Amino acid sequence: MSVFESITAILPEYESLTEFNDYLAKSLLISKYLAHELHLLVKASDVDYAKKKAADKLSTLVTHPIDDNLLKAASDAIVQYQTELLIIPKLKETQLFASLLESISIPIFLLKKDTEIHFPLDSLFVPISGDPIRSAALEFALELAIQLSTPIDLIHITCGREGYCSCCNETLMENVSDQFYYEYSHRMDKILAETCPFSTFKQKKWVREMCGCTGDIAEQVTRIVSQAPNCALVLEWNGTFLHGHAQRLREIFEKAHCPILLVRSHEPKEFKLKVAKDF
Amino acid sequence: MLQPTEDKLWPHTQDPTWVVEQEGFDPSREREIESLFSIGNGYLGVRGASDFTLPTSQADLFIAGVYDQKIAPPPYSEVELISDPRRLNPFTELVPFPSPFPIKVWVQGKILSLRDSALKSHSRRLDLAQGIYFETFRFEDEKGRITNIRTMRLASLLNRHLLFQEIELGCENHSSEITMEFAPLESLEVYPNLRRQEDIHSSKLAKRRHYETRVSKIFCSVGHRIWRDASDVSNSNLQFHATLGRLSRIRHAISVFTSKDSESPANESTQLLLTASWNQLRLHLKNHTSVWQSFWHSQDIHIDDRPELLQAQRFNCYHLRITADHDSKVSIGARALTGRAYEGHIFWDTEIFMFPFYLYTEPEIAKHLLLYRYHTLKGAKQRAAALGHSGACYAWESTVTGEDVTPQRIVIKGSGQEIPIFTGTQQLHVTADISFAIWNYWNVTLDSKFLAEYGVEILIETARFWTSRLEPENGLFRLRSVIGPDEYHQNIDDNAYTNWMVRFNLEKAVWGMSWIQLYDPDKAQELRQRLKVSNEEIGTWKVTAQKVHQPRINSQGVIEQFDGFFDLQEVSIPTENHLKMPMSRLLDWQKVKQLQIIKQADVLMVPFLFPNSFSRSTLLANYQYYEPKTDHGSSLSPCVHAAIAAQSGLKEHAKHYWEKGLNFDLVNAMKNTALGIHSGCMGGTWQALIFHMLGINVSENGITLRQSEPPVLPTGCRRIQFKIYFRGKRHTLKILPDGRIAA
Repeated sequence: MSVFESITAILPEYESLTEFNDYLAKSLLISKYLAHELHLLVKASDVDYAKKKAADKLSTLVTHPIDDNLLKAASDAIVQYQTELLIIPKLKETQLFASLLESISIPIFLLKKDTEIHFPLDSLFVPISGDPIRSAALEFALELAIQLSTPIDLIHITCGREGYCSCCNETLMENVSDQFYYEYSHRMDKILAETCPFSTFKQKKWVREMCGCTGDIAEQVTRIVSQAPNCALVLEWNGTFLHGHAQRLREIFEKAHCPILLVRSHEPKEFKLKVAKDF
Repeated sequence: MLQPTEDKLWPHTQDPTWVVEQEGFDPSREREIESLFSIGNGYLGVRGASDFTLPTSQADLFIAGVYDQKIAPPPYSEVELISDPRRLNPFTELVPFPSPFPIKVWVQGKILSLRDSALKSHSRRLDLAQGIYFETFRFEDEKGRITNIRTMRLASLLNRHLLFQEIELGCENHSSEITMEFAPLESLEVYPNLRRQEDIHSSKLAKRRHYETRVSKIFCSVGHRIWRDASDVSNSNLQFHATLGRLSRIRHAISVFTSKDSESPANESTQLLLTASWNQLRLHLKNHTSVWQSFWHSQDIHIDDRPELLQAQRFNCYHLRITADHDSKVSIGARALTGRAYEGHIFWDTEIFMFPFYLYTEPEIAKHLLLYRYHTLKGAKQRAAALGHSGACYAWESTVTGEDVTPQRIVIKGSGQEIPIFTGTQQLHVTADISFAIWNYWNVTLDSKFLAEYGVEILIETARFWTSRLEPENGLFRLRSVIGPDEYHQNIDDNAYTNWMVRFNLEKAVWGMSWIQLYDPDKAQELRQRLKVSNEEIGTWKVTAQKVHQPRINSQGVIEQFDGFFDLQEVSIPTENHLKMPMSRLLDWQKVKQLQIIKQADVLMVPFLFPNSFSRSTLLANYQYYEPKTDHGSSLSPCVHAAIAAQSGLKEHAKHYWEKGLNFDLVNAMKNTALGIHSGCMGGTWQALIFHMLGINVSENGITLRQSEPPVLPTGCRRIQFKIYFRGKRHTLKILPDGRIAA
């Protein structure tokens, strides 16, 4: 059973036929493992070539010409094909690339020239903040994990304030309290209940490790994924490059060679506990 | 006190200081909310999981005293308890049972779920005044059908085996076929201690579900009886047609019995439900709220002008009440009956932090807590023997037998680092803490019968342990290789707090023997013979008490926490890091030992328990020395600091720490309320207010106000009124900021 009914890959630009072929091959590979249908959005002039190239690989391939308005084409395709995952390359034109990412609300599979993909994956890395809020990235990863039979490894990076968490690269890193041996043994379960409150026991079993370290987030994430040769990175973002961790995302896009899945955060829920300051 | 709404069937308390309310639904906070909204009656506790549970909910029911062998943590746990001998003990872990409250509801065949966008609004109310949990849901499906559901639940204070749930369902704009399932079959993957069977014993019961713990073989029967609109429903899957504008009302009575209660828990469970009826449950509800009213009437605190503090104080008192019972075979775990953390183990928290609340409000409960220690005295004696000593040494972590169930070491998964746990063999002060509680109980109640039958024997056996454990040196007695309240420093000698408590224990054993000789010479004789107590031995206790090593005191009057503490490397902890014990404290435990950095109040515990034994200047010196060195890595720390700051004249410090302790769970101060509420913190905060901030002093002369410092009231508060029990009477006191007691 596939994770998705339908995924769409966009290839608006390429430097050489080799690059086009490489991109097409990766998209086909992804769709083979993840989806029933692949829709390919290419320039009108490339439609016939793409069809011919991919026809014997995937019977459900649908090609779709794109005009100059890439954002509209992508949005239309998402609606038309009920696309659940969009594969896009890292575009050279930074502004267009940012706008494309910002305009898409479904999960994005980001491909770069140097992205290496080998299924089955050995690990899905998911950075988590440690805050008690839902993690769309981890929820998405849990779905993938079951379908791909790939364990999830959480990454938790702390800033390493002076006099605090001084040891880098420890396998565990967070505040503990009271009798640590009772509190700490519940930590992973608690984190999963907070970040993925709708996950089942069966899903949670796919969470294998929690890798904690201190330092610059982009550097540490890149370092960790580079040590795992056959992994994917599932990142959460708030859907805009104007605030938050945008700079870190950019850095990770630049440096990480593994496939990157980008998932939008959930909208925060209205919630009020009428106590203390909120009495 | 109560101002119920017009809705006679759903009598909400209106005053917001009597209610904890949540509006909106954030699934990520469910575990935390489940702990806060727990209900219970001391025999059992049920976490406040929604009636529509999430897959990650810990919708647990705990039954006091039902333990089983520790089951290995789930695969994603990061801590492994390795090669631990306690794993052979069949009573190491409080068993979580599935809550009987979850429901599933289908409207025209479509299930209602918290997951999708159909949940349009949600709220919870914990009615502290009545001990009732309310929850409301408004669902709208994709066809625009709006279904409103209100539920309420309670754990009866009249019959501790009875739980009650009522559900009201209304179709706002449709008429539909409704299907409801009560207590759907739970996944035992999250209840690894249990085996399960189900039957329908009687046509009047909807279902009866039986559980048995895997190793301790405790049998538990949970019966369900359901009525819809006054008619019995003989099935837990209920189907009916709901008509537009008409409310359907379902009542659900649940009975819980275990093989610890009866030889035939299944029959008891059935019989209780067979005697129930649609109308009788309503009457039961009314009587249940009356018991709660009596409880509040006997001890409610009024904090004028600060409603949010009053609400928090009532919330804490509520939790202390639902945690305790009149069963002398059980005691209160660190997280009470509200969470799985600490495995239901009973620590010193009970006698030192929670016990005084019960003593001064519900002394009968306090007595039962001490009787629990009497019933585990045999285990304490075995433990002393196992440690190579005589007498009784109480377990640092105790369950039902008195055997110590503290793990001995853990290994961190991933790094493989092995970390020893010394508390089980070195944190001995709990033994003296129990003796202190016995003395405290006697002082407040003058319950001679208890003291003669049980208390003196504990004093004797614990004194014996200390004389055996203390080591003579240069005419003094030293206590080596211990851990004080500050658990960062292991293998230390002569912890100031422990030594003080040991001396107290020995003195009270001497006193107890002379008291019983006067009160009941026959009983004294019986004890002397049965326990083989000689005059010589009593003399040894007396001499030893006088010669217990006293800690160094520096020129400023600071008492050294333990031998050599003054010589350790100085460290100061930024205030913003309080309540955040970094992981390095655990991983680098040998390094931390070399630092003047402490987990929680240690020396300050002495004036916390003996407020009249120190001058203001000594208190101030000790507070100012130790407070900056304290992590507050324990929920037991803020209340002690509030207390000592108040007595030292540091009013703002006192208010700060007191509010921190008061709101500890409500604001999730340590980010671990999801694992259960901090009952020790709740009790300690109550003590800090009454005996330290307000300066109440109880003695032979009755209740007086300590004159050394004016009372510390929360900012903006013009008066605090409360009731305490002392020597047969309940006293109502109204304290004003200037130290006057108002009429």
